Amino acid sequence: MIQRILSIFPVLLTVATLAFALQAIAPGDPARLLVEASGLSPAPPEAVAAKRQELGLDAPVIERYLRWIGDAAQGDLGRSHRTYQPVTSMYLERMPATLALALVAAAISAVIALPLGILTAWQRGSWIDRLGQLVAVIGTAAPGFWVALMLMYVFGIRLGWLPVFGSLTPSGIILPAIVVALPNIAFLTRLTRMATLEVLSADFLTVARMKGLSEWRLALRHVTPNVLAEISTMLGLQLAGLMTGAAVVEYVFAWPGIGRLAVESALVRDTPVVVGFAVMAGLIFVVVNLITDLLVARLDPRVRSL
Amino acid sequence: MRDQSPRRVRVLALALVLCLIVPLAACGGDADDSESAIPASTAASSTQPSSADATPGGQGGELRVATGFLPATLDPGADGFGMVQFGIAETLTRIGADQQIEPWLAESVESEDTRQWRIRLRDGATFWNGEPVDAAAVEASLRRALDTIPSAAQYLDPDVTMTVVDERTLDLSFDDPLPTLPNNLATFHLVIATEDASALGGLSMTGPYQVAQHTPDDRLVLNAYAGHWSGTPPFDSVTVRLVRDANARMLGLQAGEVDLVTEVPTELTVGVGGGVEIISSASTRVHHVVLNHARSPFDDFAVREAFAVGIDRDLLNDLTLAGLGASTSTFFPADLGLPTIPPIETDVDRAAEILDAAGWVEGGDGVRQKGGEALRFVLHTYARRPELPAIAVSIQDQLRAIGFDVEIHQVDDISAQMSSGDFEAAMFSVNLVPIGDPRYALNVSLVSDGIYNYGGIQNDRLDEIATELLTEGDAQTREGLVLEAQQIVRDDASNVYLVAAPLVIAYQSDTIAPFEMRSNDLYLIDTSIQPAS
Repeated sequence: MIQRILSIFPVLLTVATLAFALQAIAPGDPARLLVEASGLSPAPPEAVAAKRQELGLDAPVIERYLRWIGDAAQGDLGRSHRTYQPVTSMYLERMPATLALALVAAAISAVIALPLGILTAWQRGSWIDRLGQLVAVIGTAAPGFWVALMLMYVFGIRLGWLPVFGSLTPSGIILPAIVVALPNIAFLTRLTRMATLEVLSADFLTVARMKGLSEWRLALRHVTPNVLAEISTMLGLQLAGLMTGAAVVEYVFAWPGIGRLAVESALVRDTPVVVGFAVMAGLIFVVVNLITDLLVARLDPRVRSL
Repeated sequence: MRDQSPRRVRVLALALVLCLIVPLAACGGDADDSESAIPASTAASSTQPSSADATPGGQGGELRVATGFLPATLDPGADGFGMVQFGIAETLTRIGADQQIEPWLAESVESEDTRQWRIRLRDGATFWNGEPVDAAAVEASLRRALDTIPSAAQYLDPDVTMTVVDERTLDLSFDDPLPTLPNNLATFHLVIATEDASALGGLSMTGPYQVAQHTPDDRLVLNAYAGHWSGTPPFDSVTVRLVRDANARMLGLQAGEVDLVTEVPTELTVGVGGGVEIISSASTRVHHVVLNHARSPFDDFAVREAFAVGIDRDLLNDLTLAGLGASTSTFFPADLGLPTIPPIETDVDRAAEILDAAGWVEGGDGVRQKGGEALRFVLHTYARRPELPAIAVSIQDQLRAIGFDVEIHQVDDISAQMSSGDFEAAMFSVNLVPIGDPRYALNVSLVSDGIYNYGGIQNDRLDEIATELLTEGDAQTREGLVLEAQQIVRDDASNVYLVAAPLVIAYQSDTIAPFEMRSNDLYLIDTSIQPAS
């Protein structure tokens, strides 16, 4: 297990290095964009030069990288070029909002996708199956920002049921969570359908049917637990994906989460915050996986011994 | 039957993980409660003692604003623009209607010889911490700006001698004449502030609304400063929320979640109902095309002239800005109180004649040619100002009619593209009169060493005029020089000026009383915005 924990660090180092390198080779001058972001547009050259010097951007990229990675190893991801706040605290401040959005979206996804996936497999080839596949296609293909604006218009203005802007409140979280959940519903529905089809073809189910068990009993006692077992690992990865993949939705709904922070920072090439997002996203993925594995190992001696 | 135990355990483990973190999501509260919508840690940081706690109180109510821009810091050096824009900070003077200088924290700024200036401060102005805005405080504030803000030196000579005459009088003395000092004092680089450890950001300022909470990239919460020199501000508080997506901003306004929206794209101004009022004003920001005089085809004067004459600016304005901008064929927009020469009349036939006379003859494909070279160029544009790519397309269409072949390239960093010299023509947008001083436009974009003179304009007389404007104090003479400069640029077809960008604001008429907006986007929130009666 210690080996497993230690394996996190090379992953994070690779992610951080790639993110830093991509930022370094991306077109555009961060100093110029940062000056323009403060209201000076177009940025006067002397202001750009002063900003470049202030941020240490005159130094060779290797030198900047080594300095940054050295600090990061000590838990210091640097300070934002725009706000001068520590990057780590900026992300920690916004983490509860992102976590809440991801969890509500995950709950919505599970409540819709799991029954729908099982049902479409059970009724394979029927109109229900085709409807489920249509939902999956729409959920995957519909652009998030467009769906967001449509839902804002319908539920915020026409019906007046929900607030247009997102907020960390029961009513304020619903629309953003639905938009975040949509592609996830599509993916999980198809995944559940495939897992259900596999279970339905298993020998033990034929035996159970021969024993005269009802379809409902088969579904609840035999099919559903096996399907959940099949997709459980993917559910964990989906949760991590929901936390790090909601940037566009956070942006449109003005949701105060880490995705919006990353987008805002990327637009003005606030390198420490953008690279910090890559590190945070990598960290979220490996930690969620690790926690799941640790809990499995704690509860099941056979897994612990593997 | 397969062994299911490890899988069941895995499911249980996942459920346990979810159970551990689900309670974090149970942050209750009402949807309209803006405080509850703030991440807990952020809200906590905002409750640190600040001078905003000491003197709250406006005439009542909250002004809710959705904007596409929010200052990243509370540092006037980095974000002075946002400080002034949202009614937090003030300068000694400000730009009024028709680009005239108005007193603000200064009651008057006067000089006999434009070297020795006397600033008389407004009576009763105080910082948020209650200290008076007296001559000593203003001197300290200007010194701090010169010491800490590199751009401040463009507006105030660091070698200036400042003398406190009495509590309300400060004398400034310069070695050389500086006739534009009243304009220069309006720059947001020179906001008046005093150090105050209890204030968020460490500075106490003078605006009608003081900072109570600042969450970068999210919101700015301001409380009325009851001690403001103009009297009690009209609102108890102002919440400025950053909503980058313009469609979302407008939907929020229509849903009644905000009272006022800034930076409304012109395409969203049509067909908006629900009590939403839209007001606009042409601004001093001019969209134009920078021509590279060192590259073909714009090294040919006839091509530049045909371009300038062949473009229909009114059509551009109607097609791309819903008619809310103001056509202009010189570097100052018309009707904003600045001296301007008569506009260029669009004349496609004359443009064709100019090209014919210069030897650019029409080819079989409709593209003119001269000596085997096609009349073809790349027009660079950029997305940061969303209307520019649309204007570029309209230019491409209009120029095709007179035999140009225009290819449009969109780049991220237009300044870098032009700085490299690798361009023929580029869309550009600059606020050419940021402090009401006409010399600025010449100095930055038309003199030989102007920072935005990417096209390589070289004209000795323009350089001389810019130098004369630096020290010339007579208003009539200055106006004559400005008109002469415009005519030189016109006669040379140095750049192609198109349209003054509109500033567009939308507000809910049942919560905000009608108000007049300024042509300078530096001023947005002030005491002129009042609740509807």
